[in-house]
Amino acid sequence: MEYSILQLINFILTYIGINFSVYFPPYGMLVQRVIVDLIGGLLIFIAAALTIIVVIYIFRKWMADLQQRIGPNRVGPYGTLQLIADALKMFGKEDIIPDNVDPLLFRFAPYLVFIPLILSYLLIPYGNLYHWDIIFTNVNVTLLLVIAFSAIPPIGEIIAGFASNNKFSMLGALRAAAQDLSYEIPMMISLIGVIMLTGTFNLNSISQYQWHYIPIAILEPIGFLVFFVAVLSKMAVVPFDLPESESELVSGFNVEYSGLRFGIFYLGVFGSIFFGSLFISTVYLSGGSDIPFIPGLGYIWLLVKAFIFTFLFLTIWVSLPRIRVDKYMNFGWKYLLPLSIINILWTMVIVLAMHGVL
Amino acid sequence: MILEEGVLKDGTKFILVEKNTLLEELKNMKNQGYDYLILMSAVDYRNYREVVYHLGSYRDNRKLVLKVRTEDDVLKSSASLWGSANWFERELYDLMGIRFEGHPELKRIFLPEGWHGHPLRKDYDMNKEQYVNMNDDGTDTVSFNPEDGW
Amino acid sequence: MEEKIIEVNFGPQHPSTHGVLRLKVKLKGETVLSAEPIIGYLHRNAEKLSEFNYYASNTVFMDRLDYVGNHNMELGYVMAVEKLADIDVPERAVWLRMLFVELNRIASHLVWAGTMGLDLGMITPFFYTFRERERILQLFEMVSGARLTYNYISIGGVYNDLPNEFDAKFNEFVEDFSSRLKEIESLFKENEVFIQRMKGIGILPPEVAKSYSITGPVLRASGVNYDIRKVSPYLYYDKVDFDIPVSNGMDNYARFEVRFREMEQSLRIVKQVYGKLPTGEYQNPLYRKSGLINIKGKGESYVRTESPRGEFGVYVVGDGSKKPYRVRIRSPAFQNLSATNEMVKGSKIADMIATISTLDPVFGEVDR
Repeated sequence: MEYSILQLINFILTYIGINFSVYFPPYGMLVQRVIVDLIGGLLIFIAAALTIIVVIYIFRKWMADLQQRIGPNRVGPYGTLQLIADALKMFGKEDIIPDNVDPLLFRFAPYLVFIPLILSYLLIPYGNLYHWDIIFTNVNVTLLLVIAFSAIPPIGEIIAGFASNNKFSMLGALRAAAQDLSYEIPMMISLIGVIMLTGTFNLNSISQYQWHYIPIAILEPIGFLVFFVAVLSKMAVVPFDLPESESELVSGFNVEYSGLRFGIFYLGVFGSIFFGSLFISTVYLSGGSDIPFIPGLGYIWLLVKAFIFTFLFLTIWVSLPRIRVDKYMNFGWKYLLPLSIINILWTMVIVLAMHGVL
Repeated sequence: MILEEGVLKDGTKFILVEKNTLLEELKNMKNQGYDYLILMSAVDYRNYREVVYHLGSYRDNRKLVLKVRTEDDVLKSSASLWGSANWFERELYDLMGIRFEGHPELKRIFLPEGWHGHPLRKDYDMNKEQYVNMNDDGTDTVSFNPEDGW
Repeated sequence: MEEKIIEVNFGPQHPSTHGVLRLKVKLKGETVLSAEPIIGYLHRNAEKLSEFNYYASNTVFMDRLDYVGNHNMELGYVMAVEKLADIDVPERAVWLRMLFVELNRIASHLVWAGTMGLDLGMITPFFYTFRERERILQLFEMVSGARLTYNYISIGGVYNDLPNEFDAKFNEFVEDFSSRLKEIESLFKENEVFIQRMKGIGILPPEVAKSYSITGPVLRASGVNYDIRKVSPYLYYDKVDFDIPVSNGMDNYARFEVRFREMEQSLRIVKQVYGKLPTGEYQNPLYRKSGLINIKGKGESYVRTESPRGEFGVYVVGDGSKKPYRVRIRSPAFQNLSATNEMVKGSKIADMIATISTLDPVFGEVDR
């Protein structure tokens, strides 16, 4: 018998005496449900924020290690509190809003980048931990929702770039738009292969399917590869950090941002790195469905896979130069897109073979 | 037309040419194999300015110094012979105040446009401080008043 | 559809302009239509300042020209003054000069390699190059006490003899530098993206290079075999074996190749020089300490040297007094930069940045 994490929260609430459903049915059930969901959302927000901090710490230490430096080592044991110090510094900084920007959009854009990212953390099935399934959203369209949420941050970047009224940020925004177009289409088309195989949009079912049969990365290596590259460019880090491209456009779309608003963009980068790792392990590597030999630790297994991907992304970040914007577009349209279509054809063959047609 | 010939202290041969024939002499030298304009410099001798062309070759070790004297600070530009003469001449105009006729874009290169005087001239007043600021359209302004700039 | 041409100022505060270069760039989308370099943000007029000081005091200004290749800057000036005032230099001093000039060339190219990586978005090689540069700087610190502005090469010789600890440190450096250099080079060379970013970008044909008086590695990467060290040997460059690396690529990649090969050759020179160091005076006794003020010169002299960026020389005019009448600096980076527009027009923004970084301008020297 397995329970979802929301049921656990409900159980705890009932235990300490908060249970609206018994007072005035049927609305009390709804109220109870909303409270439970809110607590779940808050939990995931805290967890995501903590993970981002951990990822940033790992990034700095790992990058320092690759570059033969020590990395942060002053604040706290092994510099672990450095990020807290940095965050406090960010809070203390003056929030400069230049004269000629569009004030509303300028203020709004960072949230447009960050909130969909945090929301999409809610959609991942985190797998099982003993008898509890850590799943917050288990509707039939979680995969579609992830794609929908992931389409919003680039719009935030474009708005940030245009609202800044700066030529560098405008160029950065144009690049963000161009880049968005060239990775999102191959990304979605490669996901179609997954949907064809599993026959569902539910991320939990997708990961369960892989647990029962075989990880999709083995069945669809081309799709996995295309998706990996697309996720890499979704994160907009080197070699695909075209909207930012520090050495060309100073800082790209966020050139006019400072203080907390800049901090939000910064967190967004690392947040999307970890989210990308979670997503790719869920869709292609059976996610947190369960762990071989040690049943009941699927959550840990998912985190292990996600951190392996995170390390991979960070290593790519520190070791590659930036690809040129026109070459990137060529790459997206002339290689990734045809490859993702080939992947669909390949999936068709697999599906037909499974149904005994071939 | 060569007015004077000799050897400099460092052992290089030098020729002093007539001001009006400067461009022909340079062209002549370039055809003789001095295809490398090493350096253009100018020396202020108070009564006249001496512009010195150090010419070399990209093939061998030859080196020649071509000098020309000017009192009114106007010379023919050699930007048509060497691309490098463009910036050399702008620099000499900026710091020494020698105007080169026929230069495609003779403007100051180091100092802001509107700077008073040419610093390498011996009569340049070093004690007068000039203050630079920037207009809204991005051009520099120069003033003697400390409050107008920095 | 009509595309709008926008004008953007790159710099003077920009992460990849190697100091304070400002480029007025006309852009059509991502394509650069023209780029006009605007310089002078670091202008101190070292030429004018030098007219107010004794001959020996001016080496300090030369240090502040090319602040990553200082020994070369000092050498150009010092040799011109020595020609002007007929000063003899002891043999050991000449060899010492050569040793430090070549070490400095390696250090300078290492800075270039690191910053070029940064310009392309590669962060990591920067730390590898600076790790090696650090070891060279420690050698410099030993003899001069400074890490940036050494003021080591002085008129009549060098300021200091090698300290006792130098030998061990130097041997340690020489021993594994060539393998470390290979490691650094492989960080770039074995990277497909890097090669794509460099090959065929920033073409500089030899005719254009010659017309713009371009020298140094940039010229040699355009296929012209021209190095002052071979063409008109100074110091004892005719007494050591080394090759001049030349490449016919004319592009950014060729400039990258040439500079790395040049570091290898410099290492070769350094090894030979250290082996040939004679014993004896390291400075002409006449010009030690207070003797330096008494230098007088009359006439004009210009000595050509090969700095890490190309031909460097100082044209010194003396009027017989203790101070130079006129000092004129030939800055290679200034000339190399003047061809920027020829190289970048028609390319993409990213390529423009890469091309400028392979020109390796140092703004202390460009703006003087």
